[in-house]
Amino acid sequence: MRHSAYGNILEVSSFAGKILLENGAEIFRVEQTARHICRIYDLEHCECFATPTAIMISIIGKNGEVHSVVRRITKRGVNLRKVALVNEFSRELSDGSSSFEQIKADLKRIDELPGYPLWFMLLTAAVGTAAFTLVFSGGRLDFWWGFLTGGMVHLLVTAMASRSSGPFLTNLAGGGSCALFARVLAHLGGGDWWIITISALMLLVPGMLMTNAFRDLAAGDVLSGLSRAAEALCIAVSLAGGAAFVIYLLHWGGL
Amino acid sequence: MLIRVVSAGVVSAAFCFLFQVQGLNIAAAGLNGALGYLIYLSFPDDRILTGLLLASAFMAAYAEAAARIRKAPSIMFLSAALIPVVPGGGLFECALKLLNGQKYEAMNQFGEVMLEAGAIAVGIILVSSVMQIVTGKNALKRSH
Repeated sequence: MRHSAYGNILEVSSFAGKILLENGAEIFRVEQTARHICRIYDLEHCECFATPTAIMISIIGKNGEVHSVVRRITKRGVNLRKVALVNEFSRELSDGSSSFEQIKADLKRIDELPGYPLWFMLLTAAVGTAAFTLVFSGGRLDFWWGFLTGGMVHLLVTAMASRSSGPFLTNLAGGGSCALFARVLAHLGGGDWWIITISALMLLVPGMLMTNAFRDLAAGDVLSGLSRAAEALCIAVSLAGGAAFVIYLLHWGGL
Repeated sequence: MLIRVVSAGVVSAAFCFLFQVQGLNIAAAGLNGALGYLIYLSFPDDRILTGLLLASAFMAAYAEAAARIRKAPSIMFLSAALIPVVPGGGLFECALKLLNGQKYEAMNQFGEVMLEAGAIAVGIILVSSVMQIVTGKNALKRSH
């Protein structure tokens, strides 16, 4: 095997792993996929170590030489469609017949798939929050105020996240805006501010992180499991803290 | 109660859109969320931990089954369905109490939230571990 072939194998397997990690896959799925791709090319000695912030792959070539790659993961979002597509794609790569250029192009196509448009996401967030007010036994007013609050909070959080303000500040502000909109709307138009605030807050709950944390722990990836659990806890605490702080301020201001 | 259960299903479906899930999988996850919330609601307040554990174990098992039928990763059906049972209200209450100067009540509440989150975690980990035994994909053996 030529020298550059190892580079190509590493590039392809780490690219697949990167897409998976950036879009919310569990650690074992990332490691399995990367190893599976290396196996296709008859590389028995291949190890992959993935964490939520980096992925490392190392292979030992036919003549005993070692090749490795490290990829940093800086963007961490959720797009389960891409996870499912990469998963499916890597399973179909059962022999080494497709060229590296073809595989790279296919992976790039998956990576660049557009998501749902922003207006649709805002509508979904609004409907989700409104449905949550009903889960908490809210009335008709709570439903409509929840609808408004959910949409506005989602818009704010999306805008802040796209300017990469950091997860802590984004969630602090997100939690605060939930409480602000809910309290002001309930004050002006009636309804239960508690139910509206909680419903909007639940929309920002890091559900994906929590699920992945538990599943990583169950799979034996304790390092990633604990760090994801810690991240989820930090986000949840800053959400609740931001909301409670705003309620406190408004109370102090006489609302 | 019916309204609450159906709304929990709608919430789960909405979260599927936020997680960019497509097609029929959204309906499957929404149904999972509604059924899980029904289990959670059918336990009284003093049995809340049992209810959460059974609900999350049920949802994880449903997700594993759906993943095999629909040929998609099981987190697709689990993460959105879990959202309605997450103890978000308790954590908010805890933060309010803390800012209000009620330290001990806040710590008490925080402990309760952690227990509830722990019950959910145990349910999921239980099902994942059982699935590893059933499918023979053990975490320690899988590298060879």
